[in-house]
Amino acid sequence: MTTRGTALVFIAALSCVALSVNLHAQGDAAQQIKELQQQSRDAQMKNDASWAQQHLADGFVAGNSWGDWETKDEFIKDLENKTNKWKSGSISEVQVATFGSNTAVSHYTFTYDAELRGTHRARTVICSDTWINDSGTWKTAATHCSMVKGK
Amino acid sequence: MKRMWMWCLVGLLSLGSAALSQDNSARSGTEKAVAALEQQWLQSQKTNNPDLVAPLLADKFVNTARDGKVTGKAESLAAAKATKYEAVAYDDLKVTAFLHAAIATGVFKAKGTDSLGKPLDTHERFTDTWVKMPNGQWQCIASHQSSIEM
Repeated sequence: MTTRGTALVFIAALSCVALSVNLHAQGDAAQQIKELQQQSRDAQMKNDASWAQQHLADGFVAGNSWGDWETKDEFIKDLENKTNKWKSGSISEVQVATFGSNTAVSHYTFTYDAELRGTHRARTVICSDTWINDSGTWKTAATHCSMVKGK
Repeated sequence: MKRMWMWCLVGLLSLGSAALSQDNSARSGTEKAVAALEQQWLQSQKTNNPDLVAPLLADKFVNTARDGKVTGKAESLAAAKATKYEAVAYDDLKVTAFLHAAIATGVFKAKGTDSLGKPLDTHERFTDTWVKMPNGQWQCIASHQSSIEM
């Protein structure tokens, strides 16, 4: 094989390795976000605000299916409110799409039954969360949920 | 020696201040750019011209409508083409820039006829997620709407 041929084979092999590493990293990110999504819900069920403190980005905004917007501070305050009681809550059909190595969007269904701000609330919602990679830590930049018709 | 330390400190503070100022300026630039794209999206609805919004949507774009219906780019554009707006407006449009993404939130009001030809009277909140693509163009990767219960 000529020097040029060897160089081309080497470059092609290097490209394959780079592509494979990139796909692997994106797969890892998607899996990591799925796990974080579950952790987020577990923390919510336990009124545990520490998870949110670490994993909500500054500038975070939440839109819920009841028509309210909440900032990071308001969201955390709600989690700390011990009169809010979660009887049950589960997420399903979690799908994650990554965009480069620093942004991802997850879509999932959330079914819950809770006593929130003195009112009984139970429904199934569909949610979209935006995740950003902040120096190696995935944080939620936004979440928005809307009611699934007929549920 | 004391003077040298002082100059080093002044230099460091200046560098830090310049970096902070550059960061704020980049954020502000992103927020203005994305707000302009949101206005282009609104313009496409005002003029019933989906061609204006098509380049703003990423190939992997996902729309979640207020009734929970999830659609991709092609289906969303087909619905936009079939919808006829008579009046549209945004309220409280706010854009927040993050590292490589931006979130636009606001209220969308519209009247007209939907893609099935039924009367449309919408009052909803939306969250749009924008990402800077490798070619430098900002594109919307996800949009989510929920009804405002009156």
